[in-house]
Amino acid sequence: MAQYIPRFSASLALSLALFAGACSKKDDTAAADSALNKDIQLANRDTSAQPALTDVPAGTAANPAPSTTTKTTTTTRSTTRTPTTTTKRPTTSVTSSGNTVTRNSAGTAAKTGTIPAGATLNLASGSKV
Amino acid sequence: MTNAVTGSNGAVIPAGATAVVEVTDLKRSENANDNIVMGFRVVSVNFGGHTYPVSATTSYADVSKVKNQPKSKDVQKVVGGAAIGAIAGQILGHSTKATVIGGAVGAAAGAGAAAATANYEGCVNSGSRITATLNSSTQVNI
Repeated sequence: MAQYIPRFSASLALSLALFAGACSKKDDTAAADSALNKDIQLANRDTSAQPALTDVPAGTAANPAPSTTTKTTTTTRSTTRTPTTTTKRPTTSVTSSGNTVTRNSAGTAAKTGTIPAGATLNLASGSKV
Repeated sequence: MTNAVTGSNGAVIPAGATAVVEVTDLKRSENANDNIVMGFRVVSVNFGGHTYPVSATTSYADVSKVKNQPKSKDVQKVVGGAAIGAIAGQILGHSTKATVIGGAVGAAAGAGAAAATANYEGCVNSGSRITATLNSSTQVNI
């Protein structure tokens, strides 16, 4: 019987050690929980720094300047519109040989219709012949 | 023009349009059996500030006869006829009565001669009707 006493003591000591370890670990868990809560609070509080998508097409991301140039060009186009002034050519001119040239003003073609052949014209004399 | 003429595509020659008509033939009547000849050609039609040349054949014209000879000429023929009749009556009847009858017959014959030999001119009075037919189609402004 006596030979089993040391084994029992060893087992007891091991159990105590495990118990003590468990107790100490319980304190660490509590500390970790508090740290986690603190992090969560900080995360909820941090609303100012929001992630932003900054991806842009490859061609324009490298050179933002051309877009500004395009806007400038558009503005220039709108401001450079000026009313067109037409200078009328004189209707008559004299050539070197002395002939007078008369120009007719270009106009739209008049719409026409056709009076067919065979149509009868009924006339009344406007004066005595 | 007294009536409007309608074509295609809304083309219209309105009533009241002015036509220029040319006299192409003119021949007076020399006696009662001679006909008057008058020819007409429509040259152009004018309306809406435009003049449109046309080719047309005149199919009818209201032509009236007007005696061309002066009245004194008719009187001369009648008197001449009466004198001839009177002389003939005197020769044939040897009496005044015969002379009067001869003069009356001669005057009637002279009047008939005056009517038969008178000249007549053709006349188209103002408002008289002339009808023409287009020979070819004509373009007019709408």
